[in-house]
Formats: sequence, structure tokens, C-alpha cells
Amino acid sequence: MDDNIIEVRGLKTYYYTATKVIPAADDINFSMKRGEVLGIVGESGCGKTTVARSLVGLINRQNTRIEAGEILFEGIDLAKATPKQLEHIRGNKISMIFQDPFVSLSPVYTVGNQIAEVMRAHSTGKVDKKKERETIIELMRKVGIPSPELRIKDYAYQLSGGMQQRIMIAIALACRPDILIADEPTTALDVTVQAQVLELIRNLKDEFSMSVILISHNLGIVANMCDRILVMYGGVVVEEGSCYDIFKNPRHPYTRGLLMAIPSLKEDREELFSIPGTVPTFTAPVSTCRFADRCPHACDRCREKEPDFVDIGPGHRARCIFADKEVLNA
Amino acid sequence: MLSFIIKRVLKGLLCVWFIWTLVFVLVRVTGDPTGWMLPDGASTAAVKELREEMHLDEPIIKQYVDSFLDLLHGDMGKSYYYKQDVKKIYSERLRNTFSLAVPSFLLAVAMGIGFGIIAALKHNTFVDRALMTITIVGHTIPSFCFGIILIMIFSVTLHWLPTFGTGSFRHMIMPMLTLAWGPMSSIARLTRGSLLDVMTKEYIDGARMKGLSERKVMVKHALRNSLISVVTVMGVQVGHMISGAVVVETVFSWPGMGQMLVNSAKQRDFPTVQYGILLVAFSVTFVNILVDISYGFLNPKIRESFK
Ligand SMILES: Nc1ncnc2c1ncn2[C@@H]1O[C@H](COP(=O)(O)OP(=O)(O)O)[C@@H](O)[C@H]1O
Ligand code: SF4
Ligand SMILES: [Mg+2]
Repeated sequence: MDDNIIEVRGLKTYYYTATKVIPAADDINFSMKRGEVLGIVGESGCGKTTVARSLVGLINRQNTRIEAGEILFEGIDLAKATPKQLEHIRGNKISMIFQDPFVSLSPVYTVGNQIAEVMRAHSTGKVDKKKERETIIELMRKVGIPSPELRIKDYAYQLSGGMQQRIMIAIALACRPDILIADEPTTALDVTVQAQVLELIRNLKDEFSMSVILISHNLGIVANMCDRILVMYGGVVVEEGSCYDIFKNPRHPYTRGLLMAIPSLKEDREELFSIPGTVPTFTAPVSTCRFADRCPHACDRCREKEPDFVDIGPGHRARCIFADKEVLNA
Repeated sequence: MLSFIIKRVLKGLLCVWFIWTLVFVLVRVTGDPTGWMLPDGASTAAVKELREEMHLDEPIIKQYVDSFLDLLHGDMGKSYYYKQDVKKIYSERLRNTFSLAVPSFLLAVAMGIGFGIIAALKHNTFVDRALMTITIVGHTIPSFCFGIILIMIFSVTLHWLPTFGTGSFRHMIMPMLTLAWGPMSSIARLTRGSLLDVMTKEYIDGARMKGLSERKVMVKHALRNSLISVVTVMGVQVGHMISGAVVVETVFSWPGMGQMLVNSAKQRDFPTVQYGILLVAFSVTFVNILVDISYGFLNPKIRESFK
């Protein structure tokens, strides 16, 4: 399929700690087309950030290794890219915004300066200061920053969280990338601001005709935006499908748990549901269903080996031995 | 900014005044100079007469007020021992100390930051561990030991360098190294620690995500931020340097202020001690004000609060 803008095949990223090997991203497969929005969802610690950072080589080579897999982008394999190749791609072809904008912006440079930095990194030839300033102001206006000609001289700490994240978005989009990776872009923001920032990303996606990887621990956040969704648990994708598949026909017990935990859908409930327990940290190799300890349907068969994907329909599959059985509906 | 500087200068003057007062009292309650000024076995009448002549019999409060008024008029008094204006005595001494301390400080800063960066970049390797061992030694062994070790090696054994005296660069090498070693070690360790800390910050990955080269990420983002905390301790290091100078000048017979201070303190030469301390207090305060201003320059949050 040639129209895929990025294609990830069998990606495995492992962390090496003193005592064990953590398979934080274990055999991840997906591909995206231009303009598509892919959601990656799962509780904290499921490996979402690991996948995102692997794509752009933002991993600490001292304790992290890409064990296997390919990340095909514009004819090169990003899993094996040289530092020079990665520099050319970061901020230029693939951009990323992080969870907490305040700590992602340098405290000692003005925001205007930090936007200029990415533009200069990817432009050849001399910078025309005046033109550059106009471009930056225009960009700041585009991401919804009021009176940008004043704010351009501000430092990060002088802006609100929402404004800081808008600056991060401006930096990310300054070079018109093909792919924007947004790793929990609203998690650190006030609830009232979250929707605005998501709306902004959605609008800019169309204007810049880019693909977006939207990462969240909250299925509700990705619901309105994503074409396809990967549900991750313990380093693996446990279910993937279109937005419709995931919401209307979830086949993995973990996906169902996440759906029940969406705040807005269950407003009338006394207490918000949450899946009992927490995500364990696994040690490679894993030879059980990773969700078994928390799954209401777990049985001995679940612990014999890691379940394979069961195809449910076109583009829809789940990693549970009961995925196509009625047991789950009980 | 201006009001910040004025406030800072006033605070500094208050501090200098406090130190001067403290020393004024301390030297007087711990002894007096008449012991060595009169021949052995002088009569108590003779001692009493001399004390009266030197106004040492007056209540300490009166002595203090008189001296302070003199000080405000720029009269620093006469040395009991050298029998001349203390300002004159110190002028050359001051120059000698500066000609040793300033290059030593620059050496300490340059080497300290350099070693710190290398250690951080080579974190957990042999180079890092070697540098940290060297600097922990510099941190813990007193500078007079270090000076004596240098003398043993380079003068006594190898006959490369003179043990004392001034006049040439060769004379300066050992005193400079001795003086610079402690502050260099502290600055190196601090630079390393602060750089390692900054390198874990999210904005470093933010900078990498812009497509900047690793070198640019290091220099423009990591180093720039880690220097903020390094600069804050520079003032403290200058303080260490002054106390180090006293030792180093004594070990290497370097005719500077430190040596003078030690001798005049031993002799209870009150005006000389007081003026010496005043000079030291002034220089340390001055450097600290400079440090605060440059700190503000590096850190926008502080800079904004200057306005
Ligand atoms: N630098 C690291 N060293 C060791 N383990 C790590 C590191 N970063 C993440 N992990 C582990 O990898 C797993 C996945 O983490 P992460 O990708 O951050 O998950 P998510 O983004 O979904 O919260 C977690 O178990 C976490 O403890
Ligand atoms: S395989 Fe078993 S433990 Fe795993 S999700 Fe399915 S039912 Fe639960
Ligand atoms: Mg994460």
C-alpha cells in the first residue's frame, strides 16, 4: 500500500533495567494515511509514550533498545536512522507535543525565540529577521494566541497552561510536518481548556493536511477525532479497529473497561467506574495474556500463552481468546 | 534593575559594616598588642601608660565610635607594627593578592566548568569516575596540604619550580594551582550534577524534537540552563578563595593581603587587621553583587522581577 505515510511493522522497544528487561512496546503494527488520525489509548504505563518516542528516535540508547521492527517513513527505516536523518525529520516532517507544555519549553528563551529555533533548524540560507517575526506572529495567531505581537517576547512561565500548549503546537507546526504526534496533549491542562486545545488540533490538522497520532489514557478524548484506534495494554496492542468498532463493538475486556471508565458517558453514575488494579510491569518474554490478572473472564487457558489476535471484521481485531465468543457479553 | 542594584549595594554595605564590627570586637576581646610592643618584664605601670597612649584603656564602645567616625572620614589608622598608614601598607599587598587570586579564579572557573561538562557527557564512564575522584580529593584535602604536596613533588623532588617568591610565571604556577584546586573541584562537581539534572528535563527532548543537532541541544539548552545554578555558587567560591589565599600566601610566602592579615592578627595590630578585613569584605561583597546581576541576566524569571 503505497499511500501509507508511515508504516510500523513488528516494533519492539525494550527497557533494560538493573534487574529486568521491560517489553514496553512489544510487536506494534500500524500504518497511517495522509490526513488520518490514529488514537493510541491505554492507562498510564501501557507503553504509549514508548511507541511515540520510538518513532522519532527519542530514546535513551543507554538503557533502551529497539529490538526489532521497522518504521518506514519516506523510504527510510526510522528504527535504524542515523542522527543526521533523525534531525532532518524531527520538527520538520514529524513533530511531537508532550504532556506538560511548561516543562517542555525552555525556561530561559522567549517563546518567539523558541518558535524561530525550529524554523531556522530546517531552513537553508539567511534569515530575514523581519519576515521571520511576521511568520511567527502569524503562526501564533493561527494557534489562537491573543495579541501575539506582545506575547512573542514572553517566557513560558508568563503564559497559562493552555497558551503554553498552543506555543508547543506552533513550534510543532512551524515547518508544516506530515505527522503530528500529540502525547497526552491535554492531560496537564484545565478541563475547560482541554476541549479548546483538541478543537485546535482538529482544525489545524485539516488546514495543514497532516496525519495525527493522538495519545491519551482517556478513550473519551480520542473519540471525537480519531479514524482508527489502538488500545494498548502492558506493551501490546490488545484491540484495534475503527472508532466505530471500538465504541460500538468492543471485543476485548480491557477495551470494555476503558469504555466504562469514560467520565462523560456515565455522568449519572454515583461513582466513576475504574478497572480494579493497576498496570503491572512485565518482564520479557511474556507467556500469558497480559490482562489476565485484572480480567473478569480470565481462565487457565488465558495463562498458557499470550493470545494471538482474533479477527473480528475488516481492520478490527482483538487479542483475547474469547474475542469472537459470546462469553464476553455475559 | 537600578532599584535592584541599589538595594543590593545597600545590603552589601550593611554586611560589610557588620563584619567590620564583629572583627573590631573579636580582636579586642582576645588580646592586645602591648605584649610584644614592650620589652619582656616591663612594669605594669609601663603597660598601663602604653595602653593609655593607644587609647586601649577606654571603654570599647568609645573606641568603636571613634574608629567608626575615623573610618567614615577615610582615616583607617596607623599600623602599630609598621608605624605607617595602613592604606599604604596594603596597596602593594592588594595588588599581589589580586595578581594571584584573579587568574586562579578564572582558572578554577574554566577548568571547573570544562571538567564538569566532560564528566557529564561521559557520565558513568572511566573518564567521569576519574574526574570525580580528582575533584573529591580537591574537595576534601585542605589547601595547605595540597600546596605542600605540590612543593614536595615539583620543587623538592623534580626541582622544576621555585618554592616561594614572586616575579615570574613559574613562581605563580604552584600557588595558583593550590588556590584554584578547591573552587575548581566544587565548580566541576556542581556543573556535572546540574548538567546531568538538566539533561533529564523534558525541554531537552523538546529541543531535540525541533531537529537541532545534539551539540546545539547541549550548548544552547542544557549548558545554558545548568550554568544558572553554577553562577549562583560563584560568590561562595570567591569567599573560599579569599580564605584560601590566606593559607596559600603563607605556604608559598607570597607577599599578599592574606599573609599580612595573618601576621597582623597574630600581633594584635588592630588597625591593620580591621582594614584588611574591610578590604576582603568589600571584595567579596562586590563579587557577590556581580554574581547576582549576572544570575538575573541568565534567568529571565529573576530578570523580570528586577523591572
Ligand atoms: N526510561 C525508562 N526506563 C525503564 N522503564 C521505563 C522507562 N520509561 C518507561 N518505562 C516503563 O515502560 C512502561 C511503559 O511506559 P510508557 O511508554 O511511558 O507508558 P505510557 O506512556 O502508556 O504511560 C512502563 O512500565 C514504564 O515503567
Ligand atoms: S485472554 Fe483471557 S484474560 Fe486475556 S483478556 Fe481474554 S479473557 Fe481476559
Ligand atoms: Mg505517557
